[in-house]
Amino acid sequence: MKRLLVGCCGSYSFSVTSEAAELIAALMQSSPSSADLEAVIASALRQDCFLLGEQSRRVAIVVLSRCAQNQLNASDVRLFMEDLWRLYQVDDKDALPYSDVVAGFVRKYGS
Amino acid sequence: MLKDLTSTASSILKTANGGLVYYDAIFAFLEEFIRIYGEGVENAALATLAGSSPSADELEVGKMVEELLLELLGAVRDSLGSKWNEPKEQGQGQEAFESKPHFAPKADQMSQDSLARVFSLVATCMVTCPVFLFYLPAEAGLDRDDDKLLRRAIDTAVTSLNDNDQEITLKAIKFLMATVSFCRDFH
Repeated sequence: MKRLLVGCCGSYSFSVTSEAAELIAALMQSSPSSADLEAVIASALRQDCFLLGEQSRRVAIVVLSRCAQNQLNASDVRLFMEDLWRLYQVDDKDALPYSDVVAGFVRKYGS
Repeated sequence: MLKDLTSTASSILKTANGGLVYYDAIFAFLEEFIRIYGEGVENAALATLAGSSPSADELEVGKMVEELLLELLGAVRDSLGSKWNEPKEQGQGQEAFESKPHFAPKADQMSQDSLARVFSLVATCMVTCPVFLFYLPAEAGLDRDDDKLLRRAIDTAVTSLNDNDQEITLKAIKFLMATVSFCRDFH
């Protein structure tokens, strides 16, 4: 799971991200313990590869945890991951946490 | 005729001498063969597991598939990476899913092609004949209960999730997805 989430943080191509999202959703929905999964999600999103800032991290943890609790389906996870992928398609990644696009992402998924 | 076809494929493997185009052709042939005849192979595996008598034809086709598949994997084995070739007893016991991800160095062309092809082949097996796949040994001559092909495929697929070659990663994901789907449906 951690490897997939790390890959979705900018290193996968768009098509791989979409497939990875389906696998992430399937793994989450198949796992017997959502508490363990949430710990894995939080750990994966604390890796150096997650460049979107603390607010985005919290939003991502909440979204993925909702999937682990079967409140979101595979399609929802795929759309979320694809939006996440788009955020990484910039040259200046240092500015990402303070950018309008990330703020928009937080608004979209944080409500 | 099937026997002739698999025998020809085996002969090609024996004389391929590292030629990528030959391995590629055998991978494609075997994958299509499994797509077409996999249901019969699975029936034989299930019947054997249940202690009943499988159809002689289906049993024979299963043997052909197993022999050719293991011969093919043996031919490309050196290009499948250290994780694939790690014997079971040398594993560190660490969960493959939770080991620290790092991006693997770029492999040569044969490694890239072979590994992606292997994932595609085992994914087809997982969809078409999962029980047959489950009981395959990792290599010809190994104890099929002790060192399974499926374990090596899953461990290598997990390691490949952070491969620099996106084609390998994609095929690894598709194989793992087929595995998860099977487990989900099985329960």
